[in-house]
Amino acid sequence: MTNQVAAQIDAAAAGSNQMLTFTLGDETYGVDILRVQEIRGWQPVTRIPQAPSHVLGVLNLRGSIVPIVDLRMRFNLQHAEYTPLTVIIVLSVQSPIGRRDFGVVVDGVSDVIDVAASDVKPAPEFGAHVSTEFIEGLAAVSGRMVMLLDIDQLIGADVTGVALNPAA
Amino acid sequence: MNTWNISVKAKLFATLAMTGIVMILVGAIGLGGTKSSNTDLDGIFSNRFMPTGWVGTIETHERAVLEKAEEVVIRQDAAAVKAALDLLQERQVEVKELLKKLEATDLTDKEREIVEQFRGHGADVLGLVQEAMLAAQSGNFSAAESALIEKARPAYEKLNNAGDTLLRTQIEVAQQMRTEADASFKKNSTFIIAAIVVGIGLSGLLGWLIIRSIVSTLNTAVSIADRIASGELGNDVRVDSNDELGRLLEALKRMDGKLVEIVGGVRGSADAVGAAARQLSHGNDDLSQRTQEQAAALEETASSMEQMTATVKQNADNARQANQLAVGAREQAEKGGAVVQRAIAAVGEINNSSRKIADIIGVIDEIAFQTNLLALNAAVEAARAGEQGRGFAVVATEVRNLAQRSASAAKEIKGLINDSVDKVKVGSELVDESGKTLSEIMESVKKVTDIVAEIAAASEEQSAGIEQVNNAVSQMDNVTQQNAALVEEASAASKSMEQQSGTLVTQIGYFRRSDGTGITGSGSHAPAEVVRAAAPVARPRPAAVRKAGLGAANKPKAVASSGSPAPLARASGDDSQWSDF
Amino acid sequence: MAIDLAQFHDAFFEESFEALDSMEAALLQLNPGAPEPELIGTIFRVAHSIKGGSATFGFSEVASFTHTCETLLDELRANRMQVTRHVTDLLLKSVDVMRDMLRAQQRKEAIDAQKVADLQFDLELAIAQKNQPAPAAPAPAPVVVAAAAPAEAAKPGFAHRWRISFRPYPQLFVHGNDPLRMIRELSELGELSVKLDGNALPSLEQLEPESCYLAWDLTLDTDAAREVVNGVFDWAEGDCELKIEEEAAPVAAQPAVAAPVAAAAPTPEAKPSNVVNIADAKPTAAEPAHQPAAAAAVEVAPKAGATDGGSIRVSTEKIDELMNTVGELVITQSMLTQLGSKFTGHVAEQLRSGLATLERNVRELQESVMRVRMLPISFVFSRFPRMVRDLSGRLGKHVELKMTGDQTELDKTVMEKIGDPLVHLVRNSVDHGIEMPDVRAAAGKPQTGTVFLNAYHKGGSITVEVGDDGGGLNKDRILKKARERNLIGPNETLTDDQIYELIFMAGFSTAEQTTDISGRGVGMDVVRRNIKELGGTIEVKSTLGKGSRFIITLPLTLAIVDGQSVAVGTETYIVPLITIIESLQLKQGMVNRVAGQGEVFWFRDGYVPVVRLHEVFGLEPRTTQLHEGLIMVVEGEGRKVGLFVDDLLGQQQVVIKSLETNFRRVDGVSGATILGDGAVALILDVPGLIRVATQRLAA
Repeated sequence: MTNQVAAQIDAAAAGSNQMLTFTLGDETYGVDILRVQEIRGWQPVTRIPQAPSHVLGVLNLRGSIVPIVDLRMRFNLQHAEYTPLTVIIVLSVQSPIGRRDFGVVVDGVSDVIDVAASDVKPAPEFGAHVSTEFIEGLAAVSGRMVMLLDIDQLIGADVTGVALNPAA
Repeated sequence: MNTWNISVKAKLFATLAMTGIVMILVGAIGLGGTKSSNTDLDGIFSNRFMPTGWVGTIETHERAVLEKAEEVVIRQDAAAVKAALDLLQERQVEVKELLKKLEATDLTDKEREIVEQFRGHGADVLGLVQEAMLAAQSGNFSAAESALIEKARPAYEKLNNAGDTLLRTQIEVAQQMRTEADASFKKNSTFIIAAIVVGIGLSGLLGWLIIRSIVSTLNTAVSIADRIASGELGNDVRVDSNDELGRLLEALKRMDGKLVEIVGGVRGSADAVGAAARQLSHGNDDLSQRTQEQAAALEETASSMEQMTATVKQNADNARQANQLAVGAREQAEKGGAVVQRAIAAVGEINNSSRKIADIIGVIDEIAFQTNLLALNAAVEAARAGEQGRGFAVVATEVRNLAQRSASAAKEIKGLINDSVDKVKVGSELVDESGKTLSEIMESVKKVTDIVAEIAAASEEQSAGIEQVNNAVSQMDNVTQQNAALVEEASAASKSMEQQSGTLVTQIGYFRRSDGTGITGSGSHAPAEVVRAAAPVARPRPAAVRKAGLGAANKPKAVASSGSPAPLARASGDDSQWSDF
Repeated sequence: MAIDLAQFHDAFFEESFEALDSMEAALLQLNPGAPEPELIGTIFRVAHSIKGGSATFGFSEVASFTHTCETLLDELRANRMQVTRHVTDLLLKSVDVMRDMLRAQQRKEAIDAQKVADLQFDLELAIAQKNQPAPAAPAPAPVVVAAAAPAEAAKPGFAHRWRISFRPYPQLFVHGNDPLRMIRELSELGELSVKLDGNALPSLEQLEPESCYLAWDLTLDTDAAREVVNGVFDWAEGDCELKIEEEAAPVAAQPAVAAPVAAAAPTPEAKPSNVVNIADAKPTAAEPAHQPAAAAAVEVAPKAGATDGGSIRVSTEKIDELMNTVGELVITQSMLTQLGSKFTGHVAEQLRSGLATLERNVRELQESVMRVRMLPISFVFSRFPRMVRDLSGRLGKHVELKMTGDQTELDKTVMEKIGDPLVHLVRNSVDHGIEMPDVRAAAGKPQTGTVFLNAYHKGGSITVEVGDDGGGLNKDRILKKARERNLIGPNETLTDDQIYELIFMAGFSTAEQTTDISGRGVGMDVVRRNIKELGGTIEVKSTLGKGSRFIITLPLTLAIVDGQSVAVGTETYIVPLITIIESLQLKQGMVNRVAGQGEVFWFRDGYVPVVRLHEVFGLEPRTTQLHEGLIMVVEGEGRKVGLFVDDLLGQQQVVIKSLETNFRRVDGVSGATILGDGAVALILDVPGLIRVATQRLAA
């Protein structure tokens, strides 16, 4: 299964990418749709002691325990209330010891868009207040600017603990 | 009388004591005789009769022992020897016991001697029997038999003879005692009869002496009292004894003296009263004049009070009307309030319905949201399926569009509903406000009603107050009228008093000295009834005055001035009415 | 687009490791001087397939090294070279090297090239110095094949049951006959049971390699006629005594018995003295040897009988997925049950009975899936023959390893974690337990010592015993040592159990001499900690001069734990029941404040500190007043604390799910579980929690 996913990711990487876009405040972000496991509504989470503040807790995702990250907090945006319309996008990252799932809390899911590889521009430097290390690139889709997120960077060691650290 | 200068009480006591002493003497002698005869009877019983019994019993015991022993010897029954010895032991003890009792009784010397013999024989019999039985015990029955027949039997006969002698002696002693008792009785009765006769004689003599001394003194006292009753004072009373009757005469003498003094005093006083009554009569005429003037002023006051009462009553009526109007206004306001409440409830229901609609819209929105998520998930799956998922992705997009449209429709409806909810809210706020205003009005009306009611109540109270003042004024009028009448009467009374003081002087003149001289008296003679009637004279008048009313204020004066006997007759009949005043 | 071979790497590594395990087992079984060709064949095949695989995936170093091994094995197979102890050792080392290389490849680490090169040189040297060709036919052990041969037609109700007495003359081999072939042919006819008669075997010195000393009694259930059976032995006519008789009615098909398999080996007396006798361990050794493909497979059939063949290879990932799904099913089912209890009426009755059935089925399903994860403990035991052999050789002791109950099943996760403690214990037994041969002889014991490994089920847990017939624990020595290290007071008297308890204390070793095998003073405390982490216990029984026995009791699975749910604020936590001593409510005034130690209260025979769970986890509790909540006295690593919680909720068995799958380790939390309402509850790691709380206090 793991291998399958990897293969598909490779396959998709060649041509145009489908992106799932979502909003955080006024911004629109995009993630590779093949990294998306599931999209689900907000549900109360179980808190995890000693976790970073943006790690809200864990959730039961079809039998597996999945950490939930509040992207607003991760990006140091103003905190928003969680309502039943708040959306959790379950994403998966690859780590040397296998696939890891985690959920991100976003304001809303916008669309599934096709982004041609040629439309993606590298991210310019925004200055000090916005870190671009999580931004893979920018894409203009029907007049809107979509920031494409590098979730492997984004959800690094702080969530998976070992994601950037080859397994022992 | 002089020789008996002791109190009547003491004399009576002395007589009674004499009689008592005689009776005690007689009783004591009788009691002594009875006691001595009882002592004799006891002696006969315990010292003569009982011992005869005991002697018999001792003999019986001895004989029983002897016979038992003889039975043993005759039967030669060794086994019975023991029984015989036992019986002997037992009876020996009893015999000793009885002998002791016998010796304890009051015995003459002769008797004592016989008792000693009796005891010796008894002991002999028992000793011999014992001896014989001991022999029998050792088997020597013949020896025992001979001992019994030859020695014990004769000993027993001697015992028997001694017993008989003792009995005879006892009876003789008893007979002697009986004769002595008889002689003593005869001597006692003679003495008692003599004592009774002497006692009766003494008592009769004393009684006659006492009665004579009392009656003479009482007769003297009666004659003095008779003389005082007939107005003869200053009698010469001679007292020559110190007892109760003496004291009675002394008191009569003091009464006589005192009466002389009093009659003199009364004569003086009656003259003084006559002078005062004349002065009083003059003062009363003045008073009467002023009272008439006061009555007129009061009449004027009463009429102005009546006018005031009418005004206040009108005031109260107006206040009552105002109160009714205020109550009506309040009811109207309340009705308005209820209507507003219903309006509020209706608006609340509208609000609830709107909220429910909003909830439903929320659910629709939620469904649209979920559908959107589902469609997104489907799009993700489709993307993962690559080329094969293209069609599916299109469908998913369509579904998403639909979901978004339904979401936006829901949002619109939600907006509208929210708008209407807001408007309803405003409406309900307005209604709330008008309701509040209405209840404020109600509150104010209520306050007005309360105030008006208070005014009405105050007017009533005022009216009642004026009524009371009115009453007080008319009462005052009445009192003034009565005062006027009283003054008239007082004037009349003072006149009659003048008259009567003269009568009094006349009456005092009744008393004279026993030597025929008067007691500083004047010779006026008025009948006693007039003096007695004078007191009620003043009273009956006011009743008539009261009946006559204000207008007839002068009338009583005329009546009163008309003088004595006529009003007197009316007075007693009106007495009860007077007390009402 | 080129096929990405990487996706097959995992499968390749897995198969290779398993193959290496079986190769190792086969090597250990190999008798120098009398090598079974079949074993050599097995070993050769393993090396060959690893070589092929490595080449395909581009692991050239592995391929190159394996090629050298293969060459050596080929020589052995062709009898051009004799199997000696040296060769076996070399090959065993090769197995280790190959394993290391593959592991390095898997983890993308560098290979220890020097070590590989050295060994490769040794191997080449061995090939170059190849001995005289081995005698043509070694003492055969063909029965092994016969026993393990597939018996597809194993069905009851055959037409005939033939009793065959096959007694070859010694010259059988000279005429080119192979009894093994004949027996295999027979086994193809029907169901065959084989009984070996090895009475004629002479001692090793007198053994003529070219002579056949064995005889067989065979029972064949088959539909084949006498002629067909006779035909099998056509070629051997004149070289054997053959009797074929028919038994009246074949009662029931007797399963082929593998029992006598290894008896074909020379008698124990004939062996070199320090060779490990694995006679009692034959099922372990035999199975991987002959069924390399199925060695690591999930054993669906509990025992590999002659009717085996129903097992499939399934990756644990899939089983875990299945477990997850079943877990979800359990949750859904419990939600349905809750819902069902709200209905009324007679339809509801049916619904409820249906739900009850569903519940039972789901539970059975869960148990079945759980059983799928169960593996025989032989997977752990299989490493010990080699280890004991190596150790005893190095120490110069004579040790015999006896293993029983190696088919006892336990959860894979438990198995993975019990290996190290067992290794430690076995090593201790060999190193400290078993005395040197001369000492043993002086003590009147056989020179060869015995180490026992015994596994069996007991209630809901598995018990593993590690014992030896060595010197036993020396109480005086332990006491002396303990006093030296001030672990106990000089005048303290202890019971036997308390004395044995001392060896589990950190830094305690009585070995007179530190060896590189054991005696460094670390060990037993780690063993105990590992076992405790698994939720198990260890106890010691020992008799001086007679030996000692370590008894380990473990839960069958780590996937499920009996827990007590507690509430703190809005959160629910699970506390493993095994750690709970007592739950109680403190009254006001029962708590004392001790400087530097926080709150303590008196419990049974000492003061116990209070750990406020809400403070440790930073929660908003329902109450902060100790007398309003509850205290749960828990024990971890020998320390007791009173855990302050809001309320106790209920006891239940929960399925443990790792937080580390998608997240990372969290101090004080050993995992998570999913509650009946689908919410996640964290399972407390009591020792970890105590550590965290202590650090907080110290900070």
